[in-house]
Amino acid sequence: MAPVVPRSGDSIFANLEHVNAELFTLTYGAIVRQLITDLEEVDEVNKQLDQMGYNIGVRLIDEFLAKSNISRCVDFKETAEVIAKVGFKMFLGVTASVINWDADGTSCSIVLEDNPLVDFVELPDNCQGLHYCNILSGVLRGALEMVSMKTEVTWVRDMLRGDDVYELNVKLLKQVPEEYPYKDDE
Amino acid sequence: MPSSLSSILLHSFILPSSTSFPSSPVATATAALLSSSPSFAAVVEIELVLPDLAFLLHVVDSCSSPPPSLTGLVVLVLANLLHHSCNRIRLLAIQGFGSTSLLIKNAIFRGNGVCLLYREWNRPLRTLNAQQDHKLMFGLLFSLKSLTAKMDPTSAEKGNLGVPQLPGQGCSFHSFRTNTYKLSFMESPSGIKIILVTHPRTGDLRDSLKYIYNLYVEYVVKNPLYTPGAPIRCQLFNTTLDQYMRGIA
Repeated sequence: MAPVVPRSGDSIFANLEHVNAELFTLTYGAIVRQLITDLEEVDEVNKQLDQMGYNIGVRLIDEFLAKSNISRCVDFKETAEVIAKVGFKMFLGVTASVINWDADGTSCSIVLEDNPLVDFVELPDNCQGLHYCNILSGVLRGALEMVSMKTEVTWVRDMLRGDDVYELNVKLLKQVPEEYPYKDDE
Repeated sequence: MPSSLSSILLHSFILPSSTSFPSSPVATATAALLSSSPSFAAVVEIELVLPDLAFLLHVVDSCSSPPPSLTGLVVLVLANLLHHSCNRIRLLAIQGFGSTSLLIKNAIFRGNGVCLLYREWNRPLRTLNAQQDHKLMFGLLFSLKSLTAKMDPTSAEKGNLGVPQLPGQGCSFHSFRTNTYKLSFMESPSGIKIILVTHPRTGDLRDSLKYIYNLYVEYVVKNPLYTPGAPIRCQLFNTTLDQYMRGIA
């Protein structure tokens, strides 16, 4: 499975329509700026970004599955690899890597060396608690929920706060299989 | 043979599409054509069901029973022709020798059983009411999936029958065929199920199902006015889907 994955990420990325990266970065920056002005509390802004990301993720998963033709992943390890190599490549154009697997394979870290969302960004002093890229954690959470995995996604390292890379910790809480929705006696 | 019959049909049926056009001349003409064609010598009866809207063609007797594929082709050509040439007339049903009832219907379901979209093209028979039909379809597919996964001889671990499975896990069935129809099915890992019910002679429709899934992504998922999980009311999606289905029918 692993050899197929990096190749397909690049080819899909090449076949998609592209939009100007700077436009994307500046639009995202404007959204965050506006949220800070409207909500003023940094925690509120973080929550709102996460919610926005969730709504995006819920729809993004179908596009991802349709364009990449990937069938069901066998376990969470494969899921994380697919997200890092195919998903990030396809939508952001960057390749991420997966490190720090814990003992029972339910938690890992996805590391991004470069992140198009944060070009030209500097955090001022009064926004130090802000997770600028929190939308990404929402997207991952939303997308994984649609493939029946409840997860918790948090930021471990953030370059805007002085670390050297972006690191997202993805923790699988539980798998929720599909249930028969109708009652049997109806 | 097919080319000559279809050329006869093409020549005889350039009908004017006017707004008030009664169906009986068309019906008579169709019957006459089928009876007179040398390779499809059949006695044909016309039944005007709803005088302005429909007629049923019964192939009552056929001297040399034509091979089913030929009959199927005739039906297809007739259906397309009549549909294109005269707006007020649409083929509802054709019964005949061999499997000639042309039945194409399409349904899209989501994970929790909500039927998002149900479209029909040329479905002759109406069975239960729509709600029941959807529940039946969903239940059937759910059970079939579960059963096929449990009966898989190559899979290592088997849970008990009835244990719910993740969408896409285990082996998944993609079609079943009876003597009157073929049902093709595709499920995405995100729980979207796409079903196509077609003529039993249809080939593998997996590529079509994938294409429909792509259409769904383009027109429904990316539509900001659409809430995921709600029934689909996107006009553009319906139009594109219609065009695609008529293209492959």
